[in-house]
Amino acid sequence: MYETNLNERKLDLDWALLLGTWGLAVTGVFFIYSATGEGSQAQPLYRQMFFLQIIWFVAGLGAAAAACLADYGKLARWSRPVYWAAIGSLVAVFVIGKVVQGGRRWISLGFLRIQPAEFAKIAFIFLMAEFLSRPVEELRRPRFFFAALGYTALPFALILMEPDLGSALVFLTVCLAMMFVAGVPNRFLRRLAGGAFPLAALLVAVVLFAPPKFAFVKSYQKARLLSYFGLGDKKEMAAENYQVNQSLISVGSGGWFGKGWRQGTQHELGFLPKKEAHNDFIFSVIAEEEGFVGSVAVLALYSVLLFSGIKVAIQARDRLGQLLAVGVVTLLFTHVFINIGMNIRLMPVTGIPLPLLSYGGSSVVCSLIAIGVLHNVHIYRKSY
Amino acid sequence: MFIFDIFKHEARRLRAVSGVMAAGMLALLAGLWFVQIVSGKQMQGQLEKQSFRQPRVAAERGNIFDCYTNALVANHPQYNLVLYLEDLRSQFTNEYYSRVVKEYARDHPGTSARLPYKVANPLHLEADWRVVSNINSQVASALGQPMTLDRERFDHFYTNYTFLPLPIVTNLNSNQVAVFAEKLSSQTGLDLETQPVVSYPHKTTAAHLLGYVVRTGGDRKYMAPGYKGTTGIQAAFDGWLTGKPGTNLVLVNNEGYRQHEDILAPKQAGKDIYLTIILPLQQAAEKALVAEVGTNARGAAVVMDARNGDVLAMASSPTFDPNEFVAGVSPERLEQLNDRKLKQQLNRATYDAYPPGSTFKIITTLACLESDVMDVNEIYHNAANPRDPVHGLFAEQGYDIKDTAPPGDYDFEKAFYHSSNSYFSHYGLKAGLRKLLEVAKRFHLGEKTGFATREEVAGIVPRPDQAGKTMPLNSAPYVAIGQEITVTPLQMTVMIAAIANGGTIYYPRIVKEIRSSGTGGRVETNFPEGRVRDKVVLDPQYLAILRHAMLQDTEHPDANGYKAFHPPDRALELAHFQVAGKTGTAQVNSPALDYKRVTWFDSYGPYDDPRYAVVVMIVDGTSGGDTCAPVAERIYKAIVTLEKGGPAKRVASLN
Repeated sequence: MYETNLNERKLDLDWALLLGTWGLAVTGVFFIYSATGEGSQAQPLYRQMFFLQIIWFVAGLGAAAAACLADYGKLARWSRPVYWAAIGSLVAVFVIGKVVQGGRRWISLGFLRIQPAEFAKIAFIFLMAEFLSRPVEELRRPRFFFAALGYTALPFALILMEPDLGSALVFLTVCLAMMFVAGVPNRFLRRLAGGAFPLAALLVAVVLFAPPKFAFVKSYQKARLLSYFGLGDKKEMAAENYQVNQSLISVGSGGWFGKGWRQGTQHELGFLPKKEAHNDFIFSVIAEEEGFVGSVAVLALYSVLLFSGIKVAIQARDRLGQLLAVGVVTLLFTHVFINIGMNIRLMPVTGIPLPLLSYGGSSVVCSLIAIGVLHNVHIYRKSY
Repeated sequence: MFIFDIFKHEARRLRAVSGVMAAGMLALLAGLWFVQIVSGKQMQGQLEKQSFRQPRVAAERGNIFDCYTNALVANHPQYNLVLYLEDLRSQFTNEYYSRVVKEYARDHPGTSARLPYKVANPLHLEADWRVVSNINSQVASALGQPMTLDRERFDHFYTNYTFLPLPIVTNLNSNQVAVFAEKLSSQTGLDLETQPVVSYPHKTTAAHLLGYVVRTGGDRKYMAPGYKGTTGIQAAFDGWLTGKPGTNLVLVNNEGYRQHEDILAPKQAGKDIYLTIILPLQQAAEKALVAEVGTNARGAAVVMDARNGDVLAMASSPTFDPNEFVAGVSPERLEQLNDRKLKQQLNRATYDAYPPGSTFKIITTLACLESDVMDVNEIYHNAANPRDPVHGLFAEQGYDIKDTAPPGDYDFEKAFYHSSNSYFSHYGLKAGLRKLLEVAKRFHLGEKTGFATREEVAGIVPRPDQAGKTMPLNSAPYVAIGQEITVTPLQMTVMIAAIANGGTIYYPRIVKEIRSSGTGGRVETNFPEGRVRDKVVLDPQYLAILRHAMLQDTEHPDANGYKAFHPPDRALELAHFQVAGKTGTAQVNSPALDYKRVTWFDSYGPYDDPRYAVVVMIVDGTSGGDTCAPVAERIYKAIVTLEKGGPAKRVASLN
């Protein structure tokens, strides 16, 4: 993708970033093949998940390359219209959205379904970077602080209502990290943290104690939370804990070296739900088949990706670039932490994909666009 | 490299962000370490527990053969119709979505599309049951048989044994098997399964000896049905016959359906047991036993090879059909089989002891001869019983023992074949109790014979040193005529065999060898022929006197046994096969016992070349001569027929 050197400058690629990206994407394809193997091999190639994932990856590479065509400063000028378009698509989900597994998260475009929340994350990062890259002095004014909060709260609330608690939380962490790096005074952040904690507590309380027909809270969310806190009806807990237990068994039974590629039994026998093994629980599949060694390798690849991103942030020529990089890195990190954490019961189960590894067009394309943005910041850091 | 760059950078806040991220990655690493390394084994254990089932596979029980490999107990295949549930999954799903869910939605308007587990689970079960019960009713109408599967049984099976095929119809007959092949074999999931079932092809034959089995284990989790030998050879050799059940390893999916099956440990068929029994002789003995008195005859007959102690037939009456126990008997039927008077399950040949009556006079004869108190030519006068002048009475020394023989003068042989109580009480008293018991003990009367079923009682014959202690010395005239002591028919057979063979006491052999299953199976254990327990020292002269007297018991026209062996239509079979024997009729006066008389005929033949010892005992018969001797005569006829035919030659070559 980077051969498209229209700026007639020497192409300066971040090889560590590329290595991490490719490593994860290829790993993802292999284990999606493993996770969906037996059952789907009878289907034509174009309907097999691993092949589709390759297509998403190629499409994502194209999108990422496109994201590097222009200097991020020029791209950032489009941040507002893009942001509002994203908000529009989030609203559209409620009107024409498709319900999948209890969540109204998808917009169907005939041959493919897209998940607006994923794209909204990119748009949000651009908007925040552009907004927060104003002089630090302005950021000290509460007006800007609250405006930034408002930009966060809008998609947060819309996605929360889908409902998709996991993705909504991503907006909060990204917002917090970007404000922090941008230089929003600590007192605001303290207040924000001080306000966010009761807010989160209130949220949990609403979820737990909401009347049964309360529209914003789905019964499964309540059950999940209850079971995470070890409360609630035993039978329901067993059912809700089932997924987590099964992913723990998958991960744990991998031991040191795993059972070998395509030798995992948990997804094959359906203990790890077949609908989710190749996306939200892909890490369990990898951990079962490649063991601790494989899990550490995956963590290492993500670390390469994340710390390359931090390096990009450090070397960025301006605050916009720096904030873009921080936003992307935080986005990726939050996904990685929540997803892997949920596979080993560090976090409650929330349907949030593992960037580049999980199956899913929107997720893969958006992750690659995000990485493309990171690269963009890297490439254009010395352009003047 | 670049990580250090980050920390050198003065952007404090960026450093903080990367620090949080590093901490997060380390937390994940620690979590993974804990899950994969620290609790890896435990998780592996949970994985195995949830993905594998280990059902046990019943091994075929060993067969039991007679000495010519006629099957006495065999496995015959039972055909069961089973349903493989995993093959029906698409039908289950189809039924669920096309009918059950729609019906539910119709009855409960306003329910969401995503049904909670609590609602969906019973609906799934309902859908699965509908599919199965549909197939079941198709099967039932095709086979012309009522449906056997009900909802409760299905639910129980389906929740616990999803990975096993569900039996729909058990024990199909051959017509139904044909119907299956023709009409039902194309039905998805339906299959015919064979299961070995223990059967006794000759039904009641040798029932007591073989013993019965009961089914075990079929209901316990993962335990295939098997059998447990409860009585007879089946119980005594249960360990050999049972074999070892195999274990399968069934990989199941999250719904419990079978995905793959391996054999973890192959089943090992039980060993086959070869008996010394000759089937036709056994059948003849059983027929003979009931021919005189009827099917409720309570008695036993034992045929032994006098030369080596092999038990060739052992019959007990009344009998039962062990096949009933294989299928399972109802409590009512069991009560019938435990009738307190008939005691159908009692092996009277070994498991109960009876007073030997006059047959004990064989021992008394030897005791009197050895102690030199009896001259065989001396005439003893049997005085008439004043209360019953046609019979004698032993009234010496204040005794009052009735005789069944008429009064008059008796030498030894006459006394023997008339079975004069007075005569033998007279000389028995002279020989003394100690001497009588000593001779009896030499023949190991009143002791267990070491019979392989271990279903044996010893009977009561005190040791000689107990004379005057546990048994008063004045019992001698009673013991001399076989009262006040008890023995088993098998013990008497061993004794008669010793008389016939010149004094060798054998351990009766019933099991010849144990072989691994299949024709020409390897010999696992071999029970040697003719294991000698004891050699009785006998003066040949006395033995000759005794044997001749026993011959007279069937040959002298006045003898008690004469009539039986010389019927008007006397068969030619026994013309050249002389039988030596002794009749006996013991009176019993015990309120604890439900019989008043025990009649016997103890014998061997042929006289000039003794090969067979035959003892017949019947409770409440008329007399030994009238009831038991005819039974023995039938058995001897069967023996002669056998010896003329093929199998008898093989008897000769085997021995």
